[in-house]
Amino acid sequence: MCAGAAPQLINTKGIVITIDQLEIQRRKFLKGVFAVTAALIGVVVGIPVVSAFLDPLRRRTIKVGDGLESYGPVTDLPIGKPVSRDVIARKQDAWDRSEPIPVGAVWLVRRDDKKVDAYSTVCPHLGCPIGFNEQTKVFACPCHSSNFALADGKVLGGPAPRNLDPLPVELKDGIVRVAYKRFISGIASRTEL
Amino acid sequence: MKRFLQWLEDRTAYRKLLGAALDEPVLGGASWAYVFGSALAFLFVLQAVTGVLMALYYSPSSREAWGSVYFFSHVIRFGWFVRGLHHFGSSAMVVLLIAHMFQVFIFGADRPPRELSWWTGVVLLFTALAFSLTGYLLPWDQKGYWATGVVTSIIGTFPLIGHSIQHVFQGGNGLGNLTLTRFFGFHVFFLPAVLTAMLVSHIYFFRRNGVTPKWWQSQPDQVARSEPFWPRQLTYDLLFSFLILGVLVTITLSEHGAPLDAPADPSSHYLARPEWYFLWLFEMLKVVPGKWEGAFVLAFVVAGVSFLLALPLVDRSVERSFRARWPHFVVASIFGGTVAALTVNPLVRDARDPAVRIQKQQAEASAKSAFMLAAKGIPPGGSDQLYLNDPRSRGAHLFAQQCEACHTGPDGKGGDTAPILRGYLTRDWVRGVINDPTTPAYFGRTKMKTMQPPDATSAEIDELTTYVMSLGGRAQAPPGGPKLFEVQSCHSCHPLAGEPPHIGPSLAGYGSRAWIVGAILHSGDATYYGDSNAMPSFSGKLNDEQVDDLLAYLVPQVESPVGSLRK
Repeated sequence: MCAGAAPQLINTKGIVITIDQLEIQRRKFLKGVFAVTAALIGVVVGIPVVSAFLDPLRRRTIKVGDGLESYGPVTDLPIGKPVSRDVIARKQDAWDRSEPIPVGAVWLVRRDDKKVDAYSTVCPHLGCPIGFNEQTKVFACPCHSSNFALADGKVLGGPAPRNLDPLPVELKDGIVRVAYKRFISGIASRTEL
Repeated sequence: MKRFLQWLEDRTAYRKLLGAALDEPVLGGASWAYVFGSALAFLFVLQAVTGVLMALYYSPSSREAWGSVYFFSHVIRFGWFVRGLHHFGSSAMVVLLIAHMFQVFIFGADRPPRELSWWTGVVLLFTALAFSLTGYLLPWDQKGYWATGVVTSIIGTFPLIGHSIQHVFQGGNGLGNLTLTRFFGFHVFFLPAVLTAMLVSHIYFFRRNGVTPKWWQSQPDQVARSEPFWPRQLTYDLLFSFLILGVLVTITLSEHGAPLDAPADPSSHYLARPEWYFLWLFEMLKVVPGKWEGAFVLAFVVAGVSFLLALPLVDRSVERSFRARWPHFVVASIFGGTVAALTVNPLVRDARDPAVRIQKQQAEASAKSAFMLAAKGIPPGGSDQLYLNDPRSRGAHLFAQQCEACHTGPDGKGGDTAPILRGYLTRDWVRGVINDPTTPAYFGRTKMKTMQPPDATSAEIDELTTYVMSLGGRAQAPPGGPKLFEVQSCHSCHPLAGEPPHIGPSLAGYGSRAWIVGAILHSGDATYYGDSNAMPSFSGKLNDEQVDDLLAYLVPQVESPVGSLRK
């Protein structure tokens, strides 16, 4: 390069440009390369990371119960008085499959010799364990005071968006069997978790 | 030493760095009002040190988490103390953050050009809350399990996306292994990174604009009173941090470390309550009508956060005095007051509720028995199986299922139509039956109403009690016992060893293991309650092991004179 007039170059399209202009173009190109490479790195790392992070969104990570479980002879239950029983069942929790352990509880209400109702003890509001108030004879949640009728589990008061969740009961040969299920709390519709 | 320092100076220029840090002028002079920020930085370091130590002992899985925390708190030397500092330190952090924000707001340090200090501070507040939320679950005990469940369920009530957020947050459709790994990862990797970045920026922005001096000082006065950060302000800061540490140590010592409940048990009737700094969220759901609660809570939170973020943009009056800025204080008081009221209200209500007190006592009792079992080692099935491997706990379980409808058991729970079995066959219980058999606590609500209390002195009843207990080998037979038994005509109804059945239960071997097992399995036999029996027969319903479990729960004081049922 000689001093004075800027040296000129001719590119393939026959346009005459200076070295300075070429330098500017080269930098622009390099900036583009940087941006594209950075974006590629972002995509290559980001997509798998974000997908793996969001994976549990649609997965049933926790499964409890193996269908109907026995709760003993119906005659063991007092008529008209709710009895809370632990649900002892296997639990699948992500990679882990357990031996039978307490996975939840049910309220059993024997109406007569032929009918037993079972309700989940999980409050349909926020999931607190529902108790039974011996004085007022209603199911009562200790968190936000939702109340449910002994006769049919209907909401009597409080913020619960739906009635107590009934569980399928089978009464065969005098033995009570209940299938334990978990439901989404906080919403009006009864959707299994 | 001097030469080494000079050598270091030549290579690092550390004196300049140190000078920049320590000689920073404090406009208007050092003040106790400025100590909160440093105390928070101190607490963060304390949380980091104690937290890293705990991470060395922690195992984030639902089988092992509780056991590992139990081991740290109950076995490792000073483990309870370190965990206590960390636990109460998190509450102290929330308290100090609020105090710091308050001071900054009153002094008008949220205003331009300090917007970025304020905003990074707001992010730090929510980072600290995220720390608390994720940390609270990690012990996988009852308290953490139910408290976290309630808070994640509240998130689930937010309209439209609440449920999805809840699922991503808790890593699936419930609290489990993935919740623990997720919360642990956030608590020890992600959140510390966020906090460090925010804290560094926060301190950088603060240093760039300096302290916000007292608004009642005139400008020349502020300049005249200025002094470097070191030594007065830094000493104030350190003394205050030391005071905070003192408070934490005092609480940790008096509470003997952080609370640890029994292992998380989804089948229990535990009283679910979030930790105090989330209590207002919990309480809000009680105040707002059911259908709109999620939307309302979300709106309140969004409004509160928006207010905090918008504050530097609207709080820009020339004057910094309270009088010039009162509308902002009104809005802040409405939010702050609401949160405070919603926090205090449930605390007071629970403190007054006797049912809550009973549940807390039960929780403490089950924690105690869990520790005793854990001391023998956590079974391979994890803390979930802690109770299943313990005869007494299995017995309690059986009792709840088979007996509680009629009998009240050792834990004070159950029906009242049959004798109360709390303290069954202890001296007090036996004496009570002899002294007053037909009160409701004993046989008053059964068909056994014909037994008359003896017409005897208190000393004689004592002797009779000892005699009856001796029949099962559980006391030394008193010399006058047989005679007293005759005189009080006990013998006219109760046969003794080798005699045929009569009206009342045979007292041959009364209170021995064999006698109790017989009473449970064959209560309707003529040897026991015969025609007066109302209890179902458990023969064939309970196997030997179950009977053993029931006895372990019901009569732990009964040694096995006859030998265990199990061969």
